[in-house]
Amino acid sequence: MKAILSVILLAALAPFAAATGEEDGDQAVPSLIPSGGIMIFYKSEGPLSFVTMTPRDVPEGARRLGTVKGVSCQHGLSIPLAANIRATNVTSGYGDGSFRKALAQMKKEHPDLAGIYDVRTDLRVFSILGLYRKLCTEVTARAFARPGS
Amino acid sequence: MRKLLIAPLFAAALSGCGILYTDIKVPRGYRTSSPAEVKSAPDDPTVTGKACNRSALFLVAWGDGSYAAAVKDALGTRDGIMYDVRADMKVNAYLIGLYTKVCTVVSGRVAKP
Repeated sequence: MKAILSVILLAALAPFAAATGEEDGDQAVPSLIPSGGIMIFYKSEGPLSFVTMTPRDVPEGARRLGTVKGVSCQHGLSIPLAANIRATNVTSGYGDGSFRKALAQMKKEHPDLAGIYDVRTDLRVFSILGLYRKLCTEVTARAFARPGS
Repeated sequence: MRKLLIAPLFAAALSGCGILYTDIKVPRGYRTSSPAEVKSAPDDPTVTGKACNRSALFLVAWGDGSYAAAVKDALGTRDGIMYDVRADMKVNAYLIGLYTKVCTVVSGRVAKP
């Protein structure tokens, strides 16, 4: 019974934990792809915090580039060692789901991008049978280029 | 055996994920603007937008409940920037969670970009 209650409590907190990745306070929660069981390999990077700009921070005369989007992803594999719901899994996690990579992707698509503001950060959760998981950081924002560029 | 089945079903129902297939977007962060940070005006319209994830039978979960989708829904065809934003989460679950809908709702005012 205790085990069931623990699972329910953890599961109930999961979506709220994901939603509180970034908040107004001074505590930041990383969004790293979870890895349980027997972890054999883990090399992953995820978003932690990002103090973004508001329209007031945009330099005078800056050229507005409109809405831009950057995505970066982490991947995970989980392979059960037996055909049993309680079987131990061999897991791994890899990839770069960082803010840095998402912003680098934006910069690649818009070489004259100097900064972003009005930033919305979301997570895409993708999973097939729990065997393969993907956690992507999606940054949607308005962008600007330096004056005269 | 029943315990073993109930636990993952509860976990799946409450986390909004499907055991077989999951493709959802959840909100993480939105640095919204205050009226002083945009070109606000007293007659700026107030808008509301909603974006939802859904799950059925604890097996599949789909949808786009992201901030980006909620803001896009709120702005519609307007080219503006939202400020004074309130973001809320709305959950509808039926029949012990056999069908669940989790929505991100944003409401705020729209200023010129």
